[in-house]
Amino acid sequence: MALTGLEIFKQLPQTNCKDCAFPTCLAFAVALASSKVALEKCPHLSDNARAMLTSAFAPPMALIKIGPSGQELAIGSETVLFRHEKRFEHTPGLAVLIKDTLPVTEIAPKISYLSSIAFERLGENYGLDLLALENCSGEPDNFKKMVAVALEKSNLPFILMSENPKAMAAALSVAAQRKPLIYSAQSTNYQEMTGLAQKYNLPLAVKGTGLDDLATLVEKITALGHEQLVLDSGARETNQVLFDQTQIRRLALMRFKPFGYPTITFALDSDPIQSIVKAGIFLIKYAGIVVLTSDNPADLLSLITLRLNIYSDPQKPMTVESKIYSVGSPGKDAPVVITTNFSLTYYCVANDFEASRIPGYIIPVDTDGASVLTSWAAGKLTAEKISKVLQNSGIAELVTHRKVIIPGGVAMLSKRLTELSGWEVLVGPRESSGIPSFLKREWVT
Amino acid sequence: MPLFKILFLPDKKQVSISEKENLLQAARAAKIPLKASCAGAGVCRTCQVKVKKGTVRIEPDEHQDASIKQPDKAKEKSGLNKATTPYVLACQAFPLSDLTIEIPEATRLTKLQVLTYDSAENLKACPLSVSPSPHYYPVYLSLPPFSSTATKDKLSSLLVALKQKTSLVPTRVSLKALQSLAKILRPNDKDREITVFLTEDTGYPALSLEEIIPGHFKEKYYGLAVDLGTTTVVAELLELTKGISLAVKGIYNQQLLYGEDVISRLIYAQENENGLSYLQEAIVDTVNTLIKELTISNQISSSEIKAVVCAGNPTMTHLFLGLDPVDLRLKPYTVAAHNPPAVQAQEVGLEIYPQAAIKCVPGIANYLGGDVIAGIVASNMTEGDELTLFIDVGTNGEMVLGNKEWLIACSCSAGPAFEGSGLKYGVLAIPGAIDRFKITSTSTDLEVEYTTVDHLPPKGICGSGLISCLANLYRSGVIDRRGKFILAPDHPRLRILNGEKELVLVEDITISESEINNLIRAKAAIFAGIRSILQFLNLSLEVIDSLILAGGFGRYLNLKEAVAIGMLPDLPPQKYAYAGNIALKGAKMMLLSAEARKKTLEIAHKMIYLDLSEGNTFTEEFLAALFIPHTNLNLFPSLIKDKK
Amino acid sequence: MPVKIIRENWSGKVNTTSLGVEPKAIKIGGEGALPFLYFEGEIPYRPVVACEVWDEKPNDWPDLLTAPFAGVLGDPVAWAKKCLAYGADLICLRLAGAHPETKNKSPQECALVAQRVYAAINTPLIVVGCGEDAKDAAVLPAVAKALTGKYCLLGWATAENYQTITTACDIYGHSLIASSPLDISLAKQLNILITEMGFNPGSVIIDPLVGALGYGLEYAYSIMERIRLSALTGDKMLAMPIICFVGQETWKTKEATSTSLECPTWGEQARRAILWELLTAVTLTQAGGTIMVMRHPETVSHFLAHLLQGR
Repeated sequence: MALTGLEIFKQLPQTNCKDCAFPTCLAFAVALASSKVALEKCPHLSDNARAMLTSAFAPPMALIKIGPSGQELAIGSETVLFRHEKRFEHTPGLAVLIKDTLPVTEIAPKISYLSSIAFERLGENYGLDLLALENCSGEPDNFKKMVAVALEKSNLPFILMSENPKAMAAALSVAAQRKPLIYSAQSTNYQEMTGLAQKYNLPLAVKGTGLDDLATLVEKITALGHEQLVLDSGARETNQVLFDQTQIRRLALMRFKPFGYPTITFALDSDPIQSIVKAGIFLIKYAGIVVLTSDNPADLLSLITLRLNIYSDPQKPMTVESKIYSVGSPGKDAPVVITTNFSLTYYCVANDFEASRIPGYIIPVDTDGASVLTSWAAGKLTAEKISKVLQNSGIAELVTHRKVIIPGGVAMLSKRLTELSGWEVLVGPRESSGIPSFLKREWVT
Repeated sequence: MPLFKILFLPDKKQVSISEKENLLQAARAAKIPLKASCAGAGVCRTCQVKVKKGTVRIEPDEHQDASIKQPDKAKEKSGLNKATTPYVLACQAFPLSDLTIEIPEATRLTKLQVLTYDSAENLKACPLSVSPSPHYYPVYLSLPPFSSTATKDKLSSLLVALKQKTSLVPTRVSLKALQSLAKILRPNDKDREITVFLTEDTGYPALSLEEIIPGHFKEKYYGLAVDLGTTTVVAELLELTKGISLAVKGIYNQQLLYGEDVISRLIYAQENENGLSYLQEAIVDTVNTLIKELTISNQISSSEIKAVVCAGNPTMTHLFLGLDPVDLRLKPYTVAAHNPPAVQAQEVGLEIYPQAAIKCVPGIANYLGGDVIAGIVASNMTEGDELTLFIDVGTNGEMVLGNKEWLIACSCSAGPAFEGSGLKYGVLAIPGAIDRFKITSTSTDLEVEYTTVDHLPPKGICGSGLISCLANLYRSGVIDRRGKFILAPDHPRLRILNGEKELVLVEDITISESEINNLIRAKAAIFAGIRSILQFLNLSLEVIDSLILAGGFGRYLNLKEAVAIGMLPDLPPQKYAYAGNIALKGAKMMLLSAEARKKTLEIAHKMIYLDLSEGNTFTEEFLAALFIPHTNLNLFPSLIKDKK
Repeated sequence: MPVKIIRENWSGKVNTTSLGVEPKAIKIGGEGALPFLYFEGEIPYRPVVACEVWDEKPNDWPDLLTAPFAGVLGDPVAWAKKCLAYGADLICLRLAGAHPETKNKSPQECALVAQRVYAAINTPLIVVGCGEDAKDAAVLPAVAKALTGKYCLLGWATAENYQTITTACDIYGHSLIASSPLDISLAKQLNILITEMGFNPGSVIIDPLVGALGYGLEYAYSIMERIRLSALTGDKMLAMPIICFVGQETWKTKEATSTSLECPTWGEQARRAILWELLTAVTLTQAGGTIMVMRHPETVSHFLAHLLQGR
């Protein structure tokens, strides 16, 4: 369990010596509690306090990196069971499975295509994170060939999948520098697989036949000295995966060492849609990597979007993008309503606007997610800013009138806004619930 | 440009303004304090005046919809914009002729009851030290006769004697002191005694030798402790050799004409040419008015006031010193100085001894200033192990939690509702203000009983009255837990004004749904601030050993009602203490005691500031508190018990 | 090495609500565990799917969505029957025509439609108004009366209009949907207001105004998780089952409405739109949603397949 600022404070010397560059011990403790500073910054800790705090701050789950540095996928290091408690830290990797039984002529184009997938979301490109290359044929040579093709056609990090240490050794002989994840060590092969992982200093996936077996295997492997691990409980059926993932996360947070690693899951189902449903659930519920077989862009777009949603930071004020939003199908004479980009404010306005059945436009001004009065007080909702939005958003091309409705809470901006923008300013209601009657009264008639 | 004569009644003050100036500006020129919450933006409707004679032009503006007194008259949008009702908003009305203007009582900032720390109850406040040690203080020296063989000058001898006696070395000697020195200690003078006056500056190594007086100074000299409040400014005159308090006086801050809350004034300073200097002038004028009143009534000369300590929030301190306050609002909030060095009276324009040293109490953050720090010093909460929560309820709610080991503070904007602003019938605790309600529901109507300050006829409702009102409205089933009227639409006391429901309380005093909403927001901000600070440290309400309530409420506040609406935590009444104007007390302690000044600085250094605008905790807590008493009813166990 | 399984001992559980008349009554809620964690507590009923039926032909639905209902749009009775044929557990009738800006139908007209639909399907019925608080407050009491004894679920009761709707649901024995925007406090406040009027908390269903995938889904997700955790830790004012208007939110997103031609890199519209509605519903049931109100029959069948596969 995370320590609070006060609990940490009690362990500190409480001299307010400022050697840590913080004004007081409490300020330092509070910064420590939110991991904004390293414990070492306090040079006056007692040995007891240092030992206690060091173990309290040790992350409950390892951070595992897959892929060459600069392009690696980092997973793990999670600290909570529910995203609202803090946040989910590292977005899980999405991998698509390619089997070495596929005709050689199809492997190359498939890999090229998968590596090229990109969707733009909020100004950033998102695509696949990993290629899962599976040695289905059982032939080390086939496996090696496929890996060689992948090396040539793709820059993505790999998961190399084989139970056969020889096949793995063959693939690694060409691909080790790509820093792939080795999948998998099992009770039958863990010594050889661990040896390979150690030889090339690579992350190793451990596959158990259930949680008990998994824990046993992990202990054996860590006893051999390898600690870059990714866990697979072996479950494939949705509710069993959910059970295992939940237990692994809960136990990791309770500092059960063998489960202090990220996990890998497989969303495999004979029904292509059900496999996407599975992938979605695994993304939400704690998987570090989700492997799927689909290469359909619609499937990937929806999963990538889901992952972005769930792994967004709930500590940041909830915001919506500052742009023009339409309500219904507005015409050239539709009303234009200004609000802030605090999502609760925006959604209240949008809902009440929608309820009015009067088509129109809403433009949330970027106020760093502050509500109307807060952003006014902090200088984030100003006549200048609204005026700029009116000029730059393109709203002037969408409507022929020049009337803008501002929130009743910032009526005092109206004069200056008129001067700056030349738009006539109508002062709307203070509460969004007043929007329908306001529009009916002031706009429709 | 022609000037028009504006005669204000019943003051009988006359000023001349041009057609480009509005009546609010005219009132400013006439120094008649009017309510103007929105600083003349034409939205708050508090600056209503009556045109008795003459014509005015009304600024064409959406908000100019007739007067409050004539609610049913629809909006006047005539092209002429000539006022069609005698009532106009002063800030939107421009003269077209000479005018006679009557200022209604409700528009005027009326006489004020000064809140002092004498109203403190149940407070183990810090005792004042016996022998005063102000920051402007005399040292008596006896210098040996000068010999002709030594090459020393008078100043060197003086400094040696000073160092021998006090081990102090001034960092600066004023020209005035040097000029005095030149005239005294001549070879034939038998009297080798002199008095030097030193100014020290808390937190800085500066030590200035300001004055030199022949002989052993036995006169009295004076100091001023000032509470630079956003709404009211209170000053206490003290004799400094013995540390005796002579008088306390308070008046409205003249900055009220530029907006009621600090944000409005910050924006005024930023957006208007010379805005900052107007605001500085207004506050300095206010303090000068107090000085004049205090010195006249105590028959002393203002030039005998030589030391001043001002406790104000960061905005007030900035504006008082004429510091550009823009950074108070804008990240990363890096202000010029949290602990401004002492300045001379003549530099800010205080009409006292020109070299008098004025010290502003240090603050720690953009919204946590010297007024709070002064209060903490005076409260004594940093002396023991017990956990104290200090709550200053003003326009901003400030909270400090801690004990001798640590202190953590936060500030939240409660809005000025509890100071009577933003409500049509809200007033400060002036004579005639309703400070208590008892509302009971009958089968057809409501029975409304009330008390007023000084038992005068009701003029409006003050903060404690508003809390009482809210508690009673909920208890008697007039509003639901969110503050919405749940009376039948045809209830005799309900009426609709400008599309909004309002309730008639007493005679023509009303309260509307949005005003109730304002009050709920204000109380929610305070409670959410308290919860946020506790949550930051993962503490529960129960761990608080004592609560100190500072600010305007004092003894008028009915604790039970403040808990019933969910403004203050539901803790045993014996844990609560009322501090009155503890900022003034802190300023006084700093004026009289070097130890208190040192402690102030220690407290400012020790305290950490929690910025509630970071993260979502405050927002969540605020939304949860927008309910009577709270969404989490379990936080108010005594209310659940009462209901059963 | 045996791993010690961690089971939370929850002190509270979600209310059980029954909708409709035997033998077709449907029970929902009753969970004493986090969603789908069967090892930890009782999960007596699976989430259910309601299909949306409108009293009027919708004019802003994309072709992809109107196609499966060709010939029945505008005929709520036939439409409802079609939805049942597609596998819906219950029907959600939306009185869109009541809106003052559209057909402004009278409460009596609306009540009649609701009555006709119920008579034709004899299946638990949800009736929601047009979303305008005042009009809903006028329409729903008439609907409530017309459906006396049918144990329907009526909405939306908001902070602005809950009093009339609560009273009507109380008198005529219906459950009600308490709707508040995306905040756990607002949801709880409305539940307190409604139950303090004497309304049975077991007949309240929370509508947290969810967002679709890519459009604020995560806010709804976390608020719903917190509501479920509150219920499990004994907060009676948050122990209500949750309804999610998935279809309504999904079918206004760009991802669901853009054709394959308009957005060629996003894959086929048919698959994309169905997945959009499906993943929104799947995610929200993982967070504790109980009644999923959906639109496309294909989504419904995939979603039910998913739920049944898990049991």
